Amino acid sequence: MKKIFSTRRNALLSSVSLSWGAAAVGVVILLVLVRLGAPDFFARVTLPFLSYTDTVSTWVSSGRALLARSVEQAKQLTALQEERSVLVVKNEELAARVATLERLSGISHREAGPALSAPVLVRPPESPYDVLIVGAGTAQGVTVQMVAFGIVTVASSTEIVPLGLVSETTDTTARVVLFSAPRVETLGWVGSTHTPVTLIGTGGGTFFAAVPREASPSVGESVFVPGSTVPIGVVARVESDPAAPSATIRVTPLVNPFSISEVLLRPRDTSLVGAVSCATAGAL
Amino acid sequence: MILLRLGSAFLSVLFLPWPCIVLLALWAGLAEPWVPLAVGFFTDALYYTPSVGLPYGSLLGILTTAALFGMRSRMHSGIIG
Repeated sequence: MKKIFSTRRNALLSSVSLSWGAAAVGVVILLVLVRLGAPDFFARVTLPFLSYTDTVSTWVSSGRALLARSVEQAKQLTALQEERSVLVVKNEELAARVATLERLSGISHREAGPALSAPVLVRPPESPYDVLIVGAGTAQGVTVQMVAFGIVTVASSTEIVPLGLVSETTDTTARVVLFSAPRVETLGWVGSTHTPVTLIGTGGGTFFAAVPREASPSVGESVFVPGSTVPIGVVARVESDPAAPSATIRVTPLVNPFSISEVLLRPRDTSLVGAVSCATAGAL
Repeated sequence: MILLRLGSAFLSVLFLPWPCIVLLALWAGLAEPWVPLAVGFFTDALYYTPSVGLPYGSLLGILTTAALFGMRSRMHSGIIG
């Protein structure tokens, strides 16, 4: 018997053109347009998922830690907890001392610029560009080009280390581009000789820089950027070619961006912002 | 099965490091070549910021999808010929 109709419902909308992948591309393009057109709305929609990202990453990390747990780690944990309780007491003493000095001098330390504490929602390697997404935005007073600091313990004292600059903000979140992001260049200096260098980000928290061969630092020397007395990293390797006039140094960070859970955001530090924008020609 | 591959590729963008995203997108792309492109765009929609330079997620997605389509067409012509 002759077939008098086509089994295909619509000749233009075949099953091939309506594949799941093509539909996904359409939905994602819509998402990109939403991010470009209404970044605040996009941030509000994605914020819960990004919070889950942090939670799941923490679970995965703790799962890994459980697998690798040993007696030594348990001892370390106890020691760190004791150290933490000592530090808490010390911190309270210092806070009381600051309050006394403020009362006596009549100058508040907040006048120098308050620091905002922000939880890190997404960090490398989940964010592939050495970008942190932090859970504080314009509603909390975060502005573009604020400096993000990581907290680190150096020789039993807690210090803050500059990590990057805020590049975008929404109501509830901010994006911090780390100095170690690929292509980001930062002026700094290295070693006890204070050799000036241009630190070039290579991702994963690391940098490289070219230094004159005769002034090449040794492994373990500290690397600084303006606006901080605490080094941002140390020289991990010096690659020198006898035929080349300069040596390349590889720098590893003091604060590991893969495990950072909180940052302090401080108002724009002109020396630091200048050091970054000079080198990257306005990339940030 | 396609939905499982698609879902895992998209969820990996939220929860897993980028090498896992690439692997899962490739795995999904073998069944549905558009997926790496969608995953690349999705990654950049979430994480890209102009100061980091090129949108590597989208570029990698475009290249992978093009390569998968190319591979597919060669396989098809190979079977027919």
